[in-house]
Amino acid sequence: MSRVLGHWLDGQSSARVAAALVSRPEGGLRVERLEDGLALLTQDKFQAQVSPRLGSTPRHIRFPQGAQFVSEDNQGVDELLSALGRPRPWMALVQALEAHKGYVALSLAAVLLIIFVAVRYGMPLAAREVASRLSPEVMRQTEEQILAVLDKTVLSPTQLPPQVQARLQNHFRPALLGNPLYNLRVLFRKGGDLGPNALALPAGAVVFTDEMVNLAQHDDELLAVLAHEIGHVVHRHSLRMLVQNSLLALMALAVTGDVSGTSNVFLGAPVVLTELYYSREFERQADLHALRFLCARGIKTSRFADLLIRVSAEVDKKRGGGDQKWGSYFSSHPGTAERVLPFQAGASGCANAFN
Amino acid sequence: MSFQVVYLGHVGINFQHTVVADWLAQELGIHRRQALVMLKQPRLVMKKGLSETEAREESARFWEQGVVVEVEEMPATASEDQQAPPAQSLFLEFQGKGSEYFRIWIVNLALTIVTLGIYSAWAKVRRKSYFYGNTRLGGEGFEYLADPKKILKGRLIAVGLLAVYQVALHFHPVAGGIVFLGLAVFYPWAMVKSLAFNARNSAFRNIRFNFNGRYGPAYVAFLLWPFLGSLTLGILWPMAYRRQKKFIVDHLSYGTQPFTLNAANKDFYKIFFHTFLVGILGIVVYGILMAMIDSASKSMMSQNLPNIRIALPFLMALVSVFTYSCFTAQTSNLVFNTSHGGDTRFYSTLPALGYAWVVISNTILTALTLGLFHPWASVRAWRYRMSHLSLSTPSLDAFVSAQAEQVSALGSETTDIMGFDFGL
Repeated sequence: MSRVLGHWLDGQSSARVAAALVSRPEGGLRVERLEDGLALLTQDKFQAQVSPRLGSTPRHIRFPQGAQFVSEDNQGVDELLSALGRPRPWMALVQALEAHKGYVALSLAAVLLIIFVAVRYGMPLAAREVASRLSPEVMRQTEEQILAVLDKTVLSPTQLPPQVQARLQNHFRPALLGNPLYNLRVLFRKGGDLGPNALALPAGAVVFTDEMVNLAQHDDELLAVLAHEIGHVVHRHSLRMLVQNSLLALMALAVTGDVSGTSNVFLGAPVVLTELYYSREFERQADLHALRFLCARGIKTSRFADLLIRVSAEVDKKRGGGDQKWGSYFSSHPGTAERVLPFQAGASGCANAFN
Repeated sequence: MSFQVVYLGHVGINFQHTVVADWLAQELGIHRRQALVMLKQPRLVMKKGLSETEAREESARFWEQGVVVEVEEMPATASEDQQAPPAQSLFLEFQGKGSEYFRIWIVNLALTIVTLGIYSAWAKVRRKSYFYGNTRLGGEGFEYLADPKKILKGRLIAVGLLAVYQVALHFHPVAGGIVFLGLAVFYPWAMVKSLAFNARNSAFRNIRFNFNGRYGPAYVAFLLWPFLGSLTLGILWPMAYRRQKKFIVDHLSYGTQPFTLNAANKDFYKIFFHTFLVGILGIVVYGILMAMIDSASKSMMSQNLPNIRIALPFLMALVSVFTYSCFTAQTSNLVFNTSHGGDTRFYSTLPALGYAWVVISNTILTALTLGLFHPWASVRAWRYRMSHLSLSTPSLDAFVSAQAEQVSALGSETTDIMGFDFGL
């Protein structure tokens, strides 16, 4: 005969009575008051709902009429229940998982692995699929808004002389044709805080800053940069970034849904780092696009390298010489030295470009 | 004719609050924390039902120890005066451990991922049961009684709504705006449903809590008043906030015992004003930092100073976490200290700075460990909160159950995923 000590809570008032739960030799169970042995409840057949075992929290055995027996003796309750012939509920499996260090370690490893795979591979894939299915209308609207925001905040009207603009537009034209899906066009703006820069917008608009144009020493250098930006457009990089960001934020929220006593702020760190990682990948893709473009038209690939190095030096000058290598992980562009290598390799560079 | 000894709201000159509180605690048989809170009351009946001589003797004793009191005739009818609590003072204790909760949390996570989120409902029940069950009052723990299946249903609907909102927002801002308005209308309804669901599925000593707020007042408190607050450029926000807290507390009950919130508007204005000052200070500091960094180097968006660009937003975020935590601690204290249910009173002494530190350090550590510190963080924060909460009641055995009602889980899950927090 097993016996478990605890308290009887009748559900009518909050008063608790010290009691014991005993299995009857003739079957079933009885709850008796400790004080005088008075039977508070008798059951011929066990009929109750038992709360799952959870750490060292008290165990509640809830009887049909609304009363309950609560006990700190989890082990005792388990033994009594098995003596009463009650089958182990599936939740007991979960409890077993939590109780064994091995399973806990396994769960930890599994979670880390799955999250890593999802973030590294699953999310970019999903973002690419979503972005590739967006209609031209959506892309056009997104581009309009982005351009409006840029013009309002950081960009201002170009100060390039009209002849320069006309000459460049002419030089650019062959690259802009032949892509019906996108409305490829070049816009000029004064960069201000952006400095020498070129931006690719979702529907095909490429913005060159005056500072970039003024740094160039040959029109082909700008053409090479244009090819790089067109690479961004064609691969829908900015759209993929937008989609990826939302997916990442959504997943982070879902995984840590029960934040309490912490702030959601920390979600930012891995999100930002992965954001930067994705955008470095995109830069590599765009670089490859530029390389292939130049090689296919017999334009000197070193043009891209020349301008890139000059821009990088210009930025370094303004910044007071930061450490490019260390910055590489945290910056959205891979280190300049790394990037220009394929463009300085001449013929072998072109041979490798089409592998 | 009976007399009473009444505390007048301040301690004697040259007396320290902590020393006086120690004596008062011993005198009344209560905890020091409670005594400190009592000393902050503007007026409190210390002893009653005494003869004039007895009252004068008691009064002298109190004066000697720095408690400024006066002798009054006891009113013929029961007065509105707050009474010094009877001997039964009880503390909330949290007995959970980070390492213990980690196992539950990680298995929850693994199973949730493996079942593509279906298990999340059971995970939530398990998590809440752990925290409820380890929160002890007078030796007994609390119970969380929700049915996971109902939670699952609510979550599926909530995820659908969230997806619609995200898509609409990113690619059709106008549509996103419309969805947002729809959700704004949905919010008070969800709030009521959620409060009811959580209350009715919470129990102590087998007596359930209840929430009986109606949708009409909910819309006034959660839609109309915040709107007024914004309209008046924030001047009416503290009043709106008080309305919301009052709506929640006044419709909450334990068994047949309803609760009431007595805080005045000015109490909330004080807290909002302090928070405002802290916020301004934060902005000023941020501005100075920005200017310093700007002058140190010209930062460019394409090739940037990587560490600083990332650090600044986080720094700003931590400042806002600090401000918000202080605010939460202060309002939580205010609500508990001015709420009562019959003769049951609450005492909340959560230190604002202490709590802010707990939240900030939790945040940093969780970020550094890529989230793995989270279970320890949760336990730590909850334990800290509970250790500054106590109550006094004539008897824990004296409560009686009321009729329970079934509530769907939908409201609860929706507000969960949207990340709204409205706990006391």
